[in-house]
Amino acid sequence: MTKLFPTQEVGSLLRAPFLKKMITEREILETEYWGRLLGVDGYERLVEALRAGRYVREELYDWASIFGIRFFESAGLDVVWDGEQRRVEMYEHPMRNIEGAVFYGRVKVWDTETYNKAAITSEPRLTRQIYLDEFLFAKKHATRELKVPVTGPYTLADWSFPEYHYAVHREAKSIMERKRLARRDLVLDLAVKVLRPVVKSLSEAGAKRIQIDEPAATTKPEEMELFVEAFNGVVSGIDAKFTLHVCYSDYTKLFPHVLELKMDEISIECANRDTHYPGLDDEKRRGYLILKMFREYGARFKIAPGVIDVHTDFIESPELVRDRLIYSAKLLGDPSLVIACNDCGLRTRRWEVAYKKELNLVEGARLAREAWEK
Amino acid sequence: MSVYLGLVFIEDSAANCGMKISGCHLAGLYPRSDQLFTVMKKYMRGTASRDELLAAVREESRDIVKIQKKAGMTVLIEGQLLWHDHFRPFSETITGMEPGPLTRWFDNNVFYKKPVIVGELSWNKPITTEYLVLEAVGDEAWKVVMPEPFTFASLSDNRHYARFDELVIDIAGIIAKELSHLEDVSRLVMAQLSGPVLVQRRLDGDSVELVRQGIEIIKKSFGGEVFLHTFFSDFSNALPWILDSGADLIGIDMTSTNMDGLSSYDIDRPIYVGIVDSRNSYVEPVEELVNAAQTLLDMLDPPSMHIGTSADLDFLPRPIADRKVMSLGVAYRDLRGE
Repeated sequence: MTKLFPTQEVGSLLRAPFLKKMITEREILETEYWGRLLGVDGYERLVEALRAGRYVREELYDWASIFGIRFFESAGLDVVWDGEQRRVEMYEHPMRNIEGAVFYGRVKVWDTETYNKAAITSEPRLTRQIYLDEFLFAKKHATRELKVPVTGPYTLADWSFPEYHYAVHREAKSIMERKRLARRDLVLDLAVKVLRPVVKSLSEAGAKRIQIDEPAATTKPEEMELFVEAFNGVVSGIDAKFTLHVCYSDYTKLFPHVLELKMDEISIECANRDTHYPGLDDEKRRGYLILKMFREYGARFKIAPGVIDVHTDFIESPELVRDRLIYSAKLLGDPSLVIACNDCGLRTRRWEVAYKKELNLVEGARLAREAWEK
Repeated sequence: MSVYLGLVFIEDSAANCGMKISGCHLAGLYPRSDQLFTVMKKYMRGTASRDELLAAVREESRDIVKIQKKAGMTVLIEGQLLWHDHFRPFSETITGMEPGPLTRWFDNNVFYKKPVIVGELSWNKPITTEYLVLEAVGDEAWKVVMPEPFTFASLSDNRHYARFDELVIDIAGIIAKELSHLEDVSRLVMAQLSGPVLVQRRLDGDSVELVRQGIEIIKKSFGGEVFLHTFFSDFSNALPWILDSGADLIGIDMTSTNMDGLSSYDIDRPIYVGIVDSRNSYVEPVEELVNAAQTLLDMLDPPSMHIGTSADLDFLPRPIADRKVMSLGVAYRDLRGE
């Protein structure tokens, strides 16, 4: 029988202490502490090199990747990644490898938070493989199953300026139509000319699970069909299990289009909208009510509702995790459809907080399994 | 349309265009430069002083005004660089209102702090002067950009007012007083009321009436021109009622509006058409802007028409915004035959 409530993470983790610009005794002690706790082979060599100041930056990224993998493995998760230790963030990292992407400056996201937004100034093409090296390295070091997170074409397009494609459609009958055509072309170009080769190369290199991150998926509901076309354009015919990750979104907008996606799992954020009280009633588990919609529409893919909130230091108890999972299974009417997962990547949490959360994720899933199988 | 030359009227399409196109300005907040963002972040972290922050904002506001003057904008904006979002000066200053959770700003990868209404709202003291660099506009004719009251109330989390209409009316009263104050202390000639909610969907009769009441309250206190601007959604959602909303100038985001939907209406009010896309770094060549404006003028035949940007320019990196403004200015002069 397949294991109920398998556990997995979403991708990112705060960067390892030794990746900080300034490495002081504090970072070295932290490295030593985590190396020992996570059971990282040969971490003493790293500590020694840090103390002596004899290290190459590139090697530190390799170490960080190993620490990231061990972080999730030692917490007991079934499916892991390296915490995206080599990535600056999810947008600029891939965009830097796309021919035609030009950065003109920063734009506001909120208040003084900004990001370096790229303009696509010529037909986008992949200049070099974005995630292949990190996957091959992780594959060599992981003992558990890996899931590679990849930023999806719709989000990359939505967060970029469609300059080239807008210029191409200068004969459109109106400004609005020109904008629509430009966006469509950009999304599909990124899907077929950039992301598909990325995903294909990962699959050919042995990646069995690939997660397509699309936080922008529902922001323009009128483009949901385009979103589906792009997603399927990336994954169709490629041999891997695909997870779609969408977070902090209005999930009602996914319907009915989500049923057309060629995917195996969807990962959504729910804990952030839930209460902290254990229990199985609708009010306590209000963050999971959206799952009713998945059942109503007859979704047959697996669902990974976030049971760990990544935007707070509150540590979910195993009992709370258990109840969130059991409630989800009841709403879906089938426990085999439920995966125990975080809301999103853990990049914003300190390692000690993130680690406690992951330990409780695993223990909560075990309790849920035990309760369900009784 | 004709050009009056002494006693002779000359029928001329270009001249027709020139007379009807009577204004050119920017519809909203201007982007901060990378350098200003750096100073602001330092200020937030406590590594730059308030004086250092204000000095950087003053310098940049002056620069933004200079660019607009060079481009030939007919009404200037100050840039509103200290406004983190459209509501922030209000939610940070007014008793009974607080900045709430981060909320997505329509379909953009941009977020605002949703105003939370926790008590009765009233205007007790100037709100926005602390958030503006009035010396940057000096004695030039300028406009300020504020939320339209119905939009303001709709995008807030109302935890106090039993009736939504009372909230809208109180917000309108506050904006009216604030505009009146700014009119007293500067040469404020226009108030842009940004109302994206008005076109997001078709409003019912009661809502339309509330929008009208809000504008009426503002017009009673403010002597300048009231420019009701809509964006991010199709303008035809607000037709025909918006033409009789009481605003002096009505704005259309042409990047979000299907032109076919407009042609069946008699546009008998002065309009502003946002033909420069505020959300795309593509810098529209002058001839594209001229063609777009002429097409709209021919199709809609309004009594007069202003041209400008579709929405706030702060979706763009600062250097791109500057280039767009310059292109817009040249297009305006070409259209005017200047």
